This record gives sequence, structure tokens and C-alpha cells, in this order.
Amino acid sequence: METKKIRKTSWLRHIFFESKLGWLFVFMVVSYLAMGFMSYALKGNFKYFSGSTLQSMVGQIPEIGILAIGCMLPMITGGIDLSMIGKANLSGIVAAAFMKALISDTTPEGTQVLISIVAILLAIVVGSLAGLLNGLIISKFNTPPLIVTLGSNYVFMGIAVVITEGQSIVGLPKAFNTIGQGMLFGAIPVQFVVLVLVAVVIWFLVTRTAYGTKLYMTGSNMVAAEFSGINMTRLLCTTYTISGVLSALSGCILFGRSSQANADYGTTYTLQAIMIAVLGGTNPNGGEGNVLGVVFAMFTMQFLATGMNFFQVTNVTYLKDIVWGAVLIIVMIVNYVSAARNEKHKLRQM
Amino acid sequence: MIRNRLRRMAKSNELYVFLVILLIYAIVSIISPVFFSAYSVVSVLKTAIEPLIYAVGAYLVILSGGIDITVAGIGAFSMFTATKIVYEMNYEGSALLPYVLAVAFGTGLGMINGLLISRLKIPPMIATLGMNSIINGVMLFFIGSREISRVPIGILTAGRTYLLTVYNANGVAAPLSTTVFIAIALLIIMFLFLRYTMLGANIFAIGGNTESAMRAGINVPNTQLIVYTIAGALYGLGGMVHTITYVNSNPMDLIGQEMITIAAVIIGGARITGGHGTLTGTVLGVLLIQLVNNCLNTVGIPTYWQRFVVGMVLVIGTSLTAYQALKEKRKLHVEISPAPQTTKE
Amino acid sequence: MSDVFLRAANINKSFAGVHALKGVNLTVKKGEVRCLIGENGCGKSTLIKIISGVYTPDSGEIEIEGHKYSKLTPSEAMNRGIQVIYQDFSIFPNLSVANNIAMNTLRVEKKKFVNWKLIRERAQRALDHLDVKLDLDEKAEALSVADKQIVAICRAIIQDAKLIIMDEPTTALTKKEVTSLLKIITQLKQEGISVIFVTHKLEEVMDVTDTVTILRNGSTVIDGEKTSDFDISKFAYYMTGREIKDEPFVQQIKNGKEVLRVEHLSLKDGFEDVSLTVNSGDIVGVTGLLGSGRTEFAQCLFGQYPPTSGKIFFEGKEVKIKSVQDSIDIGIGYVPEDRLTEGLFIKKSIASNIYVGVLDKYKKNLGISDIRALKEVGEKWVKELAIKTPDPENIISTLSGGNQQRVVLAKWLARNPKLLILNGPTVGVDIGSKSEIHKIIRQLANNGMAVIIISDDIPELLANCNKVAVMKMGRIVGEFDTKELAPDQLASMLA
Repeated sequence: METKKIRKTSWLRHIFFESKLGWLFVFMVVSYLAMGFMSYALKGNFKYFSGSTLQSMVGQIPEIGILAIGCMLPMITGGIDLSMIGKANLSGIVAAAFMKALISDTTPEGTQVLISIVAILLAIVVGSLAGLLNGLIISKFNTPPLIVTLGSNYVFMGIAVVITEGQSIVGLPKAFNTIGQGMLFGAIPVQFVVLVLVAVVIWFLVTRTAYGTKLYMTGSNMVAAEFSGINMTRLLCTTYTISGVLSALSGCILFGRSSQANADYGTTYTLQAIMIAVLGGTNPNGGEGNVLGVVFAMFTMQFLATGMNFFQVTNVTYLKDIVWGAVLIIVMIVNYVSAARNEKHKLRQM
Repeated sequence: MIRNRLRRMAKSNELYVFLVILLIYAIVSIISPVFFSAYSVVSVLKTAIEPLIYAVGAYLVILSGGIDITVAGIGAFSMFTATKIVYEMNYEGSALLPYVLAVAFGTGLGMINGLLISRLKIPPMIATLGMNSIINGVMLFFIGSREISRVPIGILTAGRTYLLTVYNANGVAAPLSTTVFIAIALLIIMFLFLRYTMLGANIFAIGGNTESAMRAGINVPNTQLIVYTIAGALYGLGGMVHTITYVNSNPMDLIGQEMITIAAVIIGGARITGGHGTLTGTVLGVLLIQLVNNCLNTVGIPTYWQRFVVGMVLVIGTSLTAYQALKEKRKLHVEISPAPQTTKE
Repeated sequence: MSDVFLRAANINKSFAGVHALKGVNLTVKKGEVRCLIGENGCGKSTLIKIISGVYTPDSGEIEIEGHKYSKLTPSEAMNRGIQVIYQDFSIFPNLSVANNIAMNTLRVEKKKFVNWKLIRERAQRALDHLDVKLDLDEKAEALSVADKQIVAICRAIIQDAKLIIMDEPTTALTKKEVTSLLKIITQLKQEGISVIFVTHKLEEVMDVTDTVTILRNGSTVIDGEKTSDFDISKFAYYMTGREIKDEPFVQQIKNGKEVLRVEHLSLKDGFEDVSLTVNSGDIVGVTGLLGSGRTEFAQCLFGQYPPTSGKIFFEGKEVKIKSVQDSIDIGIGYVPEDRLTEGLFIKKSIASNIYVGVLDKYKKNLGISDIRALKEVGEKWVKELAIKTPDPENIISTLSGGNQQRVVLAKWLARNPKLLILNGPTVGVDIGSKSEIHKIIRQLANNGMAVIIISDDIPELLANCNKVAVMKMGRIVGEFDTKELAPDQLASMLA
């Protein structure tokens, strides 16, 4: 009975030391406030804290945020997926090409909507097939995920470039663009709704289903997982396929937002997605990962990015690159320090 | 013993890569006989110099059991910053100073990588991912993003100094730059280093079994630090070779180079887990990729296909080796006695 | 005084509040072969790490050949001639035999450059010294376990070892290889080199060692007494503090219903023409030397290698086992030999280690896992198997070795298999936990489970099985009712 009491009072210790969620939340709030006050200091207004800024931030998070969640799953198994961008590109391009082929100026509105929806579904199919391919190669051939996805990224991008013949596909239908530009109730960006849905579904999958438990166990010890009856092929294929689906969604959102599709964007997106996943508490060696943590992390990154935009520095993208890298490294250092402290605490419990 | 040696060589990855190179060369020569010429050979060699220098650095890192994504970042930063400095100085001397500067920058940046990985225990993938971003950001933000096309005289001269020039049927030249000496010297030095120094032996040991290395008294963190530092220096060196070869310094040129570099090292037989792989294999890996690129160029396939093909080669090549290793591991070895004459009781 | 090599006196060591060693004494003479035994967690490995300089004792004295140390570093220990051969032999799999054996001598001499000729000479000399033949250029990963061990021993003697500590050296060796090892140890002894032999295989202790040190709960119970003064039950008594009575299995369900029947089952390069029947209530032992096909047989039944020919009948019906999933679905469970790597998730909770095998069984609507039901499964088996832990949510690494083995058992029992195959169930387990695991296995059989034990531990087989099948070179060469076996018959068949 005493043990139950001890567990209740250490709830706080749990979210601050064992799962780091507490720190992430604090970090997120601090980022928001710090950026806001810094922009006030530099520009003399509180525009950072305005509703329209928030709306804009919330509209930009999903294309990277969804990728980050997609990144988290393979990482939990101890692998990694470097082909997120390639899959996003390919799926988006296929959808765009599909719509371009079927929609002309004379196509009625209703049909356009229908075709757009089919296009998005097509993108999801393409993304999942690409992900499945990754999963099959990794599980059947036992090739290291790092290498497979490093290579397949360029394979997928290559196919996308071939489809577009190096050009951009412009003028995507308005119905499709809703996924990137539309507003729900006039205020909430559609892509944010998509992000929320994705986060909830994945959270559910990972914490409440057998698949989720199997995922974490595999990340902890893949050999023991196989001996325990977990079908590794099925698990890995499912994981990389989901990653593919999420990549596809991200691709659609991105292209929808800019109303054009080109095959070659976003090589920095891979880095940012991994960064957010790791920042959010995913262990690159496997076994740990938390959807809520990743969500906090993506918001934090966006707050910082938008904040930097407000500083009105030229070439702010490059400044952001510096900040991303620094944040990632600082987070890893913090992880290392807190993990060491956690080990000591656990030993004491023995 | 000799038979064992031959047996080991036959199973080696390097042999396969070598055969594939010969095979590709043969096939393309048959399809397009003009390909079978000194011109095509020299073309491959000349474009292989720069990637080889990067690959040797990456090979060292992968051998020690790590990974390094900062090839492009350190390479670009070193070459661009060095060129810019020399440009601003209106320097009239030889290319020596730019080389020294580039290598110095590369060394410093590589050392930072090494410290993060060896002292702060950050996983190499993450540490180099973050550093690459920082380095790119610092370069583009603080130093500039506009290419330098009017390069200083030292670089220009070095770029126009050739060892030999081969011409193809149309009179197009394939000059082999004197930078090839740098590559050759590097290979010799690296070979001697890995084979005949204790530090080299330690790198193999750490890559093979880090725990045992520690027990053997090897200073693992220091060795790792040295590995990443040398790698950085080589990326810087390669970057300057790039500037000299193209007589132009554009910070955006090297984007994506890390993937090709790692691909070359892995195709050459190194394992991502460390401890395995040879310098020969790395050279062959680089040659294979350059050959494939050249073939695509000759046949007229646009550049964006090249990454696609390299990606395919990487995935297929490593899958085959990985599958082979898997099959080998699962092989059973029970020696079964012949069927008994009498029934058992 | 002059013939004492090592004297560790009054060693105390604590970790985060756990008092691991309490005033431990260990004295070893030159040329003495000492065995160090004790239950899992008694402090053996901590003691080893202290005398080899990896840990510093909180208090106490270490005296090596007359030199006193209160703080010993690993390199000093090595300089003084103390070499430890761990279970993984500290081998570099990617490096050659010569490199593995001799490179370290250059490191100790602080050489900056590598002289390969010298390395090969030194390595060859070490091999010749032990009268062993190995290819100097072969990569260590290609060697057998026994050869890797020889490399490790060569490495130790080449660095002027005066005391070699071997941690569980015979675990993966065949009988012939054990004999070779003993020959080597005898030679070392004659040269005045001392050996400390850490093992759980108490029968070996009698053959190999001169003297014995027994630790229990961090204290020295026996130090340096002659091995010949002991027998196994005396060892067991001092190790555990209680009498361990190993009564033979009393089978309660004789002629139970047939659970498994294999007919002329063959697997290429694994085994040939194996026919065997296991009934409910049986504990059937399958034994044979390493390489006899006994493990391959188990792996085949568990679905890791589909058989090449022959038939498998489960509960009378013919079945095809093509994957691990098939085997599990039919009702077969397999407890692997190397439980830490193959059976446990060290950083995960005890409960999750237990219910990981039944995740698909406890689901609510929409595919949600019934977490409460799963946790109850965990708690149930913790109680059933008396797994010593204050909280099933604690992680596995907090458990002792014997308890960890029970968790692996629990995982399989949670699935309610009809046939349980155990491969080396008590390898590396101390004698106290061993008898308890045996009790559990017998209970399972008497409750109706069909059990197969794969083992080369003859006393274990004789005490626990009602039937034993002996395999040799891939075939079954004999099937015996345990009661009808003459005392040394089994041993001689395996020789």
C-alpha cells in the first residue's frame, strides 16, 4: 500500500523527470513569451501576441508538425526515416498531376471538389506504398533503415522530378488549396484541424492499442520482441507505411498552401522534422517517444521561427538554421544530463 | 594460409564493386563504342577527386562506428569562407593560403563535432545533423550567400594547371587537374596511418567493439575526437579542391553531397555499425558512383536523375549485402550422420 | 607470505545505498586454481571488478605480491598481472586473431606505431605455448566460441598474466572443448599462474579447481578451503544458507493425452528423421552435445525454421509450422537460452514483460487494449511464480537473475501454451533459483502441460524428466525412460 502512495506524489516528478513533458511545456510557454517580448523590444508593439499572428503560426505548423509525428514512429523502433520529404513530394506531385490532368477551367465546381478529394486520397495511397516499400526492404532484407531511407528519399524525389519534368505544377484547383489555405469557421486553418486529427489518432494508436505497445517493446529489444511473438515484418511495415501516409498529408498541405507543386523543395524539412521529434522526447536509439511531447516541440519551434521573423533581420532563414541546430544540440545535452540523473534515482529505488 | 586469404578475398565486397564497375564500363562501351576511350576514363577520374577526399573523411568516421552529415556544411563553409577571405585581402599569392585556411576551418568545425560526440555523448546522427544546420546558417547569414566567380589569382592558376589532358572525338577536353596529386597523397597517407599507427588500429578496434576497446585501455573519447577532427579537415580540403576545380565558389554547390559521400563509403563495403571497410573499397565506391554519373551524362540523362540512380544503387547494393549476411547468420551447421542400418531401440 | 599472490581483505563496497560487499576476504596463492561461486547477486562480479581495478572499494585493502593498494586502477592491476576474461571475451570481431592476441602488448608499451611482424610473432608464440593451431589472419568473428576463448586466454598470458579471472568460461563449450580448456588451465597452473574460475556449474568445480571461495549476500562464507572437502549439496548449503534437496520428478499424469508427435521430421543441416512423442504431464528431455541438432529441433518446433520433411501432429491433428506466429497460435511456447538478449526487455516494467505475449488477446472495442486486464495478467503471474519485487511496474533490471528467468517463464505461461519448450532453463542460474525453477516446471507438468527441456546438464535431466531422448549428429540415437537409466549411462552417451 505504501508503494501506491509513493507513486501518487511522484506524479510531478514523473512529468518533469521521467517523461520531460513538464519541461517541454514550460519551454514552449517561455518561448512564446520571450519571443513576444523581444519583438516588442525591437518593434515597439505587441503584434506577436495578436490573434492574427497566432492564426498564421497555427497555419504553418502542420506541414512540419505532421512530418515530425511521422518521424517519431520509426524512431521508436530504433530506426529512422530520412525519406519523409521524398515521399511528401512524390505524393503531392502525383495528386497535383492528377488534378491538372482532369481539371480544366471549364470543370464545374462540384466536380473539382470531388476530384480534389480523390487526388488527396491518391496522394495518401502513393505515400503509403512508398512507406510500405521502405518497410519491406528494412524487414525482409535486414538493411539498416538509415541507409534505406537515405537512398529511397532520392529515389522518390527522382520519380517526382521525372513526372514533372523538372517544372513546377502551378495553378492548383481552389478546392484542393483548401487543405492548405482554407479556414474552418473562418478562423481555424484547415491544416491545423488535420494536424489535430493526426495527433489524436496517432496518440490513440500509440498509447491505447496493442500496436503501440508492440512498437515500444520492439524499440526496447527487437530480438526479444520477435521471440515474444511480435511479427516484425508486420510491425515495421505498418510503422513505415503510417510514416508514408503522414508524409503524403504534409505534401498535400504544403502544395495546397502555395498553390503549386515542385519536386525539389524542403531538404531542410527533414532536419526540422527530426529535430522536433527529438526535441519532443523521442529517443533516437529507440524505445521512447511521446506524441504530446512532439506537439509541444512543434509549437515551440514555430513560436521561435515566427519570433525571428519579427526581428526583421535580412536572410532570417539562415538565422533560423542556426537556431534550429543550436536548439537540437542543447536539448540533447539536457537529455543526457537528465537521463544520468534519472538512472541514479532508479538505482536508489532498488 | 594463402588459400584462406584467397577465399577471404573472393568473398569480399571490394571485389564485387570492382566487377560491377568493369561490367558497367563494358556494357556502356558496347552500347556506345565511343565510350571506350581514354577520355571517358580520365573524365571519371577527374570528377572523382573531390568526392574521394570527402569519402575518405566519411570513411574514417563510419569506421569508428559513427556517422557524419556535415560533409556539405563543413565543405561549403570552409571553401567559401577561405575564398572570401583571400578575395577580400586581394591576395596575389599561390593557392597554398586558401588551402591552409580551408583545412583550418574544416579542422575547427570537425573538432566541434568531435567534442559534442565524445564529451557530451550526443548521438553522432543528431550532433552532426544539428551542426550542419548551424554551420550552414552561420555561413549564409554572417559570411554571405553570393557566389564568388572572380576568384583570386592563386586559385585560378591552380585550377588551370593540369597534369594531362585527353580529348574525345569532338575535341572536347578532359583535363586531369594537378589536384589529383592531393588525392593520391591523401590515400597514401591514410593507408599508412590506418595500417601502421596505433591510432589507426584503435579506430578499427572502437568500431569493432567499443566496450572491449575501453577495457583494452584505449582512450575512446580522444580517438573519436581525432576522427571527427580529421574528417572535418578533409571536408575542408575537398571543398577547396571544389573551388579550384570549378574556379568558382558558390556556397550552395555542395548541398546534398553528404548523401553521395555516405553512399560511396557504404557501397565500398563499410558497415554503418563500424569496424568494417577498407580504403580500397571507399575508392571503388566513389569510382562506381562517378562512373554511373558519367554514363548518365554521356547518354544524355539530365542531372536530376543522378541522385535517383545513386539512391537506387545504395538501396539495392546494401540490401543485397545485408540479405546475404542475414542468410549467413541463419545458416545451420549440424553435421548429420548417415542413416543407421539397424532400428533404434 | 611468499606464495600468496593476491590478498583482498575486508573489502566493503556500496552502490546507491545497496551494501554489495561486506568485509569480503579473498586470498589466492600462486599457481592456485580457485573457484568463486555464489548465488546471482551475491557480489561475485563486484568483487572481480574491484580486484581488477574497475571499481574502487569503499574500504579495505588489496595486496598483490606484497604491494599494498587501497586504490587500484585497471592499468595498475593489469601491470601487476591481473587479467579478466569476461563472458564476451572482449574480442574485436572485425580484427584478426593476431591483432586480438597481441596488439594490446604494443598499447601497454605505449607504442605509437604498429609493427605487424612483431604482432604476428608474439601471437604465434602464444598459440604455440598453448599448443593450439589457429589462422593468425582469420577474423575473430569467424571463429567458434571455443577458439575465441583461446584467443582471449592467449591475450591474457601474453601480457604476463599472473592471475587470470575467467567469468563463466564453459557456458558455450562442448565437452571436448571443456577438456581442452582444462588442459590449458593445468598448464597455466604449472607455470605458477593463478586462476579464478567463476561459475554456476558446480559439477565442473570439482574437476577443475583446487580451492573454493563462496560468497553469500556480499559476505565471504568460505575462502580458500580445499574443493575436495566439498560435495555439491555442501556447496549448495553454503551458497544459499539452506538445504537444497533435489528430489526427482514424481510424474502425476502418466500416459496423458498426446500433445506433440513428430514423425520422421527433418531439417536440412539441422536434424534428420526425428520422431518423438510428448504427452500431457510429460517432461521430456532432449539432450546431446553442442551441434547434435537439439537446439535446431527446438527452433524448428518454434517456427524459426520450417522443416524440410516429415510431419508434426499437435493434439492429434497434423499441423504445418512455417513461422513463429504459427507455432504460438498452435499453443507452443519457447523459452530461449539467452534470456537477457532474447527474452527480456530490460528497461521495461516487469508487468509489460509478462503481458507482451498476450497483447492481442485483451482488447476492447475499436481495438483498444484493455490495459487493466493486461496489468492484472502481470500481477497474477508475479504472484504465481513468486517473483520477488515490491512493484510489478518496476523495471526488469531491478530483479535478480533467477527472478528474471521467472519473468520469461511468466511471459509464456500467460499465453497458456499446451507445449512448453525450455532451452537451457537454468543456464547461468544459481543453485537456489535453479531448484525453484525446476519446482515450477514440475508443477506445470503435473497440471497437464507437456514440457520439453533441452539441456546438457545431466543431473538436471535425470532429476526432472520422465523420458530423455539423446541426439547425436542430427539423429535421435536413444530414447529412455529416466527410471530405467543406469547412473552413468547418460553421461557416457554424451561423452
